[in-house]
Amino acid sequence: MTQATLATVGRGFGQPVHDAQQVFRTTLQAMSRPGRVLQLPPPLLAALQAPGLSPGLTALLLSLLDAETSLWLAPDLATDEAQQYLRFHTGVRWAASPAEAAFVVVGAAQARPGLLSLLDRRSDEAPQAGATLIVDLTSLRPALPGQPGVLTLRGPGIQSQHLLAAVDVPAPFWRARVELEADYPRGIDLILCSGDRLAAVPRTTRVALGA
Amino acid sequence: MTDAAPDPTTQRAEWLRVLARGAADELARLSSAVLADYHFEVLRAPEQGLVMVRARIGNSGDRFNLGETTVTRCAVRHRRADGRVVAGVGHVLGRDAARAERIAQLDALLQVPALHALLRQTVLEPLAAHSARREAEERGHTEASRVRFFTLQAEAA
Repeated sequence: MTQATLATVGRGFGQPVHDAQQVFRTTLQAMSRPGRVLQLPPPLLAALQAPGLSPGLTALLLSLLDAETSLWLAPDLATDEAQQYLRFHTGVRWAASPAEAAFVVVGAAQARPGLLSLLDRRSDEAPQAGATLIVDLTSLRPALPGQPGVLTLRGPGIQSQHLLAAVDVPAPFWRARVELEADYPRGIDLILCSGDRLAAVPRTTRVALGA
Repeated sequence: MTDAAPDPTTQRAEWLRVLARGAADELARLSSAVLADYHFEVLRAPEQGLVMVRARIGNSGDRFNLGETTVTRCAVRHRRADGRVVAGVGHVLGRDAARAERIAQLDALLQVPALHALLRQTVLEPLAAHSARREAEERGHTEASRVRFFTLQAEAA
């Protein structure tokens, strides 16, 4: 990184260790309660100078990435500023394509079935090494039955069923996600992120469109 | 400093070398007062890590990994009086976080033309002199117990 970019790169976590732990704890909570919309601690996000990405997504990436992970950012999110920021603060490696990345970040518009089938799901022997997909949304909220775009989630971590509205993500994507359920334990862990909030749909969750 | 126009990168490498090699206590003594007058934004808090040291067999042969050593690095930013921002970095051997931060701060200030001459005079030069003195002293100690081995060469016929 050149001197000029070092002078302009945004600030990362105020307290790198504690903040990353808090965000990681929230992510863990979201993963163990699929579909539950959780908020990241506001003071922590306020300290960040996010590089054109939403603060929640920035915080999430700062906690998940390091020099041993690889990241593929969708072209519309991968500005020079964002790349330099993530490279400086996390040391992450760039993957040449979504198929080679451990973490893939896309906007809701790019969440297409084709992308899902591209991602690395590894083998039945090592399903844990599969990719994690992070989708950046404009809105993410708990839903009521009958709302358009509502999803019904069932499975481990959910007592009976849980409703989630991720209206930005097109229905064909969710249908492709449902098809992946047959391949369990191989699968894609999905994190939905919007502003300062996040929710997770891990591979164990069974998704149904509609309520 | 006799060079007509030294390359800025070379010049910076030179002062970073002087700072990184200088003794921690001497560096602290020389720079505490001047650094207290400026405000810095921490870009990367001092963090410790391992770096593989590589060497060459016989100093010119194949490369090999000598071993890992701890290194502390830090990056800070300083907004100059004219609004421009300069970034400074500090890398030191070992785990002295305060020292790495001090060096990063000095590196940033040394890039400000208005401060450069002053800092060179009050910090860099005394520190370099101190390091040279310490090195000469050590060399003196070693020299006192030096044993000269020599091998008699067979005289050429």
